[in-house]
Amino acid sequence: MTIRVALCGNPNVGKTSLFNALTGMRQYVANWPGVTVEVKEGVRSWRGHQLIITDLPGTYSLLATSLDEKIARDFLLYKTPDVVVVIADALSMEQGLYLLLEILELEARAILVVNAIDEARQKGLVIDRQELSKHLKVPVVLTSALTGEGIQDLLDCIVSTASTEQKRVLFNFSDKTEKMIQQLAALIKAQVGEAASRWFAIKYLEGDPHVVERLSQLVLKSVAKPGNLKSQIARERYDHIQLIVKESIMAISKELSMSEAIDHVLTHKFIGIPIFLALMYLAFNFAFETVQPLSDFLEGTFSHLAELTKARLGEGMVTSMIADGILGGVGAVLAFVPNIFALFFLLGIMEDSGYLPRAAFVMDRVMYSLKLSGRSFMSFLLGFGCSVPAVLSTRGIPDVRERIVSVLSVPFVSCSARLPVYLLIASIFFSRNQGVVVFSIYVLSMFAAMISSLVLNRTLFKGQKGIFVLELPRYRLPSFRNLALYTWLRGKHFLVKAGTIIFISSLVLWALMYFPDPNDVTRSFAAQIGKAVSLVLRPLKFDWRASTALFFGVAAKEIIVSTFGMLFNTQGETLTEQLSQLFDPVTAYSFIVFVMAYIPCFATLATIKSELGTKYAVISVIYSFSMAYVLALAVRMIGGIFA
Amino acid sequence: MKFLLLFEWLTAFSLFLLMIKGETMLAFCVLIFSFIYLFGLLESRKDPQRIRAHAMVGGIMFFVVAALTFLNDLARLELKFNLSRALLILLGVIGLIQARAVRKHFK
Repeated sequence: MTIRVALCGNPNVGKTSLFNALTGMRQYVANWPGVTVEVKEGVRSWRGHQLIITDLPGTYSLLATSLDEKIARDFLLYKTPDVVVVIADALSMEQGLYLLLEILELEARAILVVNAIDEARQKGLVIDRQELSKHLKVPVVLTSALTGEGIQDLLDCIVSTASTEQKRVLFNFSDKTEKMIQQLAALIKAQVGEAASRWFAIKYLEGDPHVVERLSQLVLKSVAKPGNLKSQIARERYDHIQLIVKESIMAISKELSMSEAIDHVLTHKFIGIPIFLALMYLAFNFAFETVQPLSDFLEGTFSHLAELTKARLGEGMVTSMIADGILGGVGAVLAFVPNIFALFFLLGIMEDSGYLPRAAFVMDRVMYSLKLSGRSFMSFLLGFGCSVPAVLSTRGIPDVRERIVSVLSVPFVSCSARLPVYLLIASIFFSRNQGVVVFSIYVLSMFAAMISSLVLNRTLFKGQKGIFVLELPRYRLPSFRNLALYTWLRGKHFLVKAGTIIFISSLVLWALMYFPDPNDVTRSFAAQIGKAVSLVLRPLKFDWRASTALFFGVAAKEIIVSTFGMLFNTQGETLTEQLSQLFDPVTAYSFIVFVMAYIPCFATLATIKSELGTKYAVISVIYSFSMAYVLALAVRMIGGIFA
Repeated sequence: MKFLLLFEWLTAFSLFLLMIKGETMLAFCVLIFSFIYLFGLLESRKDPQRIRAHAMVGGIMFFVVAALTFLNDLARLELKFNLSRALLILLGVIGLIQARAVRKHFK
């Protein structure tokens, strides 16, 4: 028998951890809300049954206010799984129970999972499973996705619940509310069928725009206006939940918890933001300076291999392709693998420990003045890794205006693909202050994203300031497994890119540089392209070689390094020695500022297109190029004064 | 507890002054983390939990900055043995011990 199971719950209650524990899959689990923005599916065989398990994005209620919540709600409503597993956090169960009450209105076979039971025990909480089950009239399973406790019980419970007859377990509202719901449900029944008519009636009274629109043809206003009982319904449900919690959970003492104590300092009104900046500096300094000897070793190895190839194979087209194209191009990028893995490792610690949502929290005051919320800042933080998931994470922003502004601003945040360019340039022109220079670019990129938000909010997307409501996760000691997985999954993306898009691009680039005259790169096809582009970039003092690198770097930013690797690896001297003649320090800094801001890579543009449409992808290209140009020119002019 | 915080803040501030010329950015990190102790001193005596919170978080931060600096020196094969390094290691070690001791007071 095949059983379709949906896992749903509030954001950051451990749905993905439980999904991994149930299916044996290895989806990355973050310690902050809004990580799962799409539906994920896994299969598990259990006692002769095949369980198809779906991990839904986190949602606080079925009154979907953001895109990811709508995805979860529509799945439950239209895909009708056999069993719905509602996951609640053992340490803050009220919101989970609220969601459960809503799901029960859909007349689904539901199971309540109380997760993080190990942490609840540590904090002296006692949860009475049978009491909970008695009040809610659904099976209750206590689990810990971290230790694996209760997973087998849950699998057994899923199988037994799927085979039992579907029961109608409904929450009874007060007489007045109930009467109104029943009147509406009777009118709605003809259109949506009996099963969900009650749910639609409640949502109509709560003012769900999706439901109100769907029922717009029915004459319901004679009974009640849409949204008439929104607060009344919520209050009645929460009153009921308070009673259940009081009966089922032992009270806890009023001492500060570890998370509250840490938050007291890290989200401090005066020192919260400076602490965040200091920690980011330490993380970047570790990734750029501490790990640099490893990168130098790799760079030397690739350079040595290229020389060896030339010595063994002699001059010729194949030798040039291997030594200059593959080893020079791909090798120049791969040399930065240790830096990138180190950066992801430290960002992983911050994320897994639960610190990053605090960073969003402390930055919310700044973001509010830009008419954005801390939710946008979380997308900006994700952008340090890669712009693609950062753009996808904006699905959690309920306000459409704020979402568009965030999508257009996220690409300014320096992703890991740009890191090799910064490190290469900084190591040559600012060798004594390499860490400071690269950190300054990261800070500048964050400012650029914020300035961009401000500009867009003041011009094209005028609107109200965003409101930020975020449930802060508990702090936890990062688990090595999760940390290794995070680092590997993020770093693997870089390695895969090196083996595919950068490899192919390097070969194409090599061909464009090799032909028509292998002995004179200035006459190559690549040089012709670069010379044409340099006409536009001349005010920035970027010559045809820098322009060539920037042109091909649009596909993926790492290609800028591989282009330099090939352009400057053909005349005997090392890449570093030759590059040092290309720029003066001011031009070098304006070059990395330009790289920081100019046109998003193809993958990001494709994501923007799929999320907002072609119009916004085109706007993003023009907007980011203009912004990059202005910023780089400003650096040149300001730098020119001091130089 | 407040006496310990005062000692640590004074030590951290001296460290900031020692480092400001040679390692400016790191010195500013030390200054920011020293403010954790300073704001702990400003907490009311009636609420020892909050004072302990400052001691614990400050301790963790100084341990982190000391460990990362040591690793950085090690990677460059430039192990420095001067006053600023000694103070940083001292603050890191005390920080770790006090963070472990203080955490028992929280749930």
